[in-house]
Amino acid sequence: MHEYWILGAAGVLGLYMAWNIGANDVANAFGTSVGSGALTLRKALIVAAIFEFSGAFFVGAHVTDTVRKGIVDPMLFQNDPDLFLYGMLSALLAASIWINIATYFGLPVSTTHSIVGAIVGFGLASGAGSISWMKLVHIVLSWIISPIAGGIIAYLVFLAVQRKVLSSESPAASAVRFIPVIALLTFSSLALAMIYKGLKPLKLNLPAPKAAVVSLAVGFIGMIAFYVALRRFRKETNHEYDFVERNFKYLQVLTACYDSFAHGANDVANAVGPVAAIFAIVKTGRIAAKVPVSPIILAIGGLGIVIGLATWGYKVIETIGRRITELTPTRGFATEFASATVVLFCSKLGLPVSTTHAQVGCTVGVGLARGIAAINLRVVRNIILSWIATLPISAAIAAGIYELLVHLFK
Amino acid sequence: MRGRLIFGLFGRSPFKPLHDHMMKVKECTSLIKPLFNALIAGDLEEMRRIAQEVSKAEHEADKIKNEIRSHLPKSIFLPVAREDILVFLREQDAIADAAEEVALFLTLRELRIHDKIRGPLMELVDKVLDTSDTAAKATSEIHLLFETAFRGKEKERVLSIISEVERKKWEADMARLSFARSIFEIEEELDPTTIYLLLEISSGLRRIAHHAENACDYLRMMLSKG
Repeated sequence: MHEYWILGAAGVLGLYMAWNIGANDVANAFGTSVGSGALTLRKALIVAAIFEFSGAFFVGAHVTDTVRKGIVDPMLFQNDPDLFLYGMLSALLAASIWINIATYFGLPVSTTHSIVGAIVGFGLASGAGSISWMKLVHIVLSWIISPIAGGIIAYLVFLAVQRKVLSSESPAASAVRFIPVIALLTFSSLALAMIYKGLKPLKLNLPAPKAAVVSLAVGFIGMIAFYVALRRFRKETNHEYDFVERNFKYLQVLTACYDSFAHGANDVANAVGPVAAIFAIVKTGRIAAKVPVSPIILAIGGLGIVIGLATWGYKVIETIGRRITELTPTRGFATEFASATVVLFCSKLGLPVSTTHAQVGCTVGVGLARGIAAINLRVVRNIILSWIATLPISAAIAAGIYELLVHLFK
Repeated sequence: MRGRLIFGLFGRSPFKPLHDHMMKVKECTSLIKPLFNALIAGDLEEMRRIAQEVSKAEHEADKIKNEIRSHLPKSIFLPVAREDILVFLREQDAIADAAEEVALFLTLRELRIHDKIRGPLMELVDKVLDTSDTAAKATSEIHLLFETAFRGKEKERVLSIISEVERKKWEADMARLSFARSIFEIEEELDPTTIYLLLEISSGLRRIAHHAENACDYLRMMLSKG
C-alpha cells in the first residue's frame, strides 16, 4: 500500500519540477519574439504551450527512459524494489531542493544536471555497482559537446545570414529567398522528430525512408507557406536592414516554436523520469526490463510545464521581452535554430542535456561571428561554475535523503 | 527566478551610444560655420550665444562618453576589440573638444578679420568642416556596421568614405597653409596679439580635422581585424 504513497509523493514533486521548468525556461525561447513585437504575450503563451506540450508528449519518452533506468539500473533492485522507489523519490526531492536553493541565490543551475546528479547520488548511496558508468560518461560528454556543437551551428547559420542576406546587393530581396530555406529545415526536422522513432504507443515510428519523405513533404509545405507570406510584405521603408529584421521576425517565431518543442522534448524527463520509474514498478508490482514510458505520464509532465507557463512563465516572458533589445531577429533566430537542433538531436538519442547551456553556447557562437554587441563573460563563467557545483551537491543531498528514507522505513 | 535565463548574458551594446555620441559631436561642429559667419558680421553677442551652445553640446558628448566607458568592463566580449572602441571614442570626443576650443578663442576678445585674410580663413573653415562632416558619415553609421556584423557591402561603403576623409584632411592642411601665408603677407598691418589668436584658431580648426581623421583610422582598424 505504501507504494501508492510514494507514487503520490513523486507525482506531486514531479509536477512541481514540471511547473518550475515551465515557469522559468520557456522565456528563453519566446522572450525575444515578444520583445521584437512579432507575437503578443497572449499569442506567445498559446503557441509556447502547444509546442512545449507536443515536444514533451511526442519526443519526451527517449530522455525519460534514460532518466528512469539508464543511469541507475533498476534490474539490480529486483530483490528489493522498495529501495529503488525510495531512491527515485529521494532523487526528485533532492533535485527540487537544490534548484530552489540555487534559484534563491540566483545561480544559473540546470534542472537536467540537478536530476542526473541526484540519481547518481542515490545510486552511489545504494552501492556504486548500480550505476551505468558508460551511460553516465556519455551524458556528461553530451553536456560538454552540446553547447560547443550548438555554438558552431549558430556561428555558421549567422555567417550564412551575413553572407547571403545582410551583405548581399539587395538584403531585402535576399531575405525573401533565404528565410523559406530555413523554414524548410525547421519544419522538416520538427516532423522528423515526431514521426521517426516517435512515441511507440501511438505507433509514431515510421521506417527511416518513409519518415524522411513525409518530413520533407511537410518541410516543403512550410517553405512554400513562408515564401508566399513573405512575398506579400512590401518594402515600405527606405531602411533596408529594418525591412530585413522585420522579415526575420516571422522566421524567429518559427524557430522559437522549434526551440520550445526541443525544450519540452528534453526537459520533461527531468520532471517525470523518476515518476515514470516509480509508476512502472507500482503498476506491475515488480521490476520489469521492458515497459515503455506511459504516454499519460508524459502528458501530465507536459501539462505541468504548460501550467507553469500559464501561472508564472508569462510574467517572465513579459519582463524579458521588454528588456531584450540586444537580440534582434537575425541573431535570435540563429541561436534558437541552432540550440533547438542540437537539443532535439540529443533528445532523440536519449541524452539529457541542459537546454539553457545549449542556448548559451549558441549565443556565444553568434557573438564569435561578430553578431552580438556585448556578451557578459562573467555570466558565462558563473554558468560553468554552477554546472560543476551542481553534480556533487545534488548527489550529496539525494544520498542523504535516501539514507534517511531507508533508515526510517526499512 | 532569473538564474536559468540566458538574458543575463547580454551586456549593454556600445554601438547605439557611439552613434549618439557622434551625433552630439556633429552638433558641435555644425555650429562652427555660423560662429565664423557671426565673426565676419562682427556680431559678438551672437558669437557668445553660439559658443555657449557648442560648450553645452560638448558637455553632453562627454556625458555619453563616460557612460559608454563605464559599461565596457574587461569581462565584456565584443565583436570588435575593446581597445579599438575606447581609442575611437577618445578621438571622436576630441573633435568636440577642439570645436569648443575654437569657439572659446573666437570669443576671448573682439577680433576683426582683415579683408585680405577673410577668404583664406573661410576656405579653411569649409575644408575642415568638410573633413569632419565626411568623417561623421562614416562613424555615425557604426550601428549599421554592427547590424551587418562588420562585413560586406556596408563595410566597403564605410571604407571608401574613410579614404575620402583622408583626401579631405590633406586639403584642409593645404588650406591652413594658405591661411597662415595670407596672415604673414600682411603681418605689418596686424598686431601680434591678433596674429597669435588667429594662429591659435587655425590650429584649433586643424585639430578638428585631425581627430576626425584619427577616429576614421581607428574605425578602419575595427573593420580590418576579424
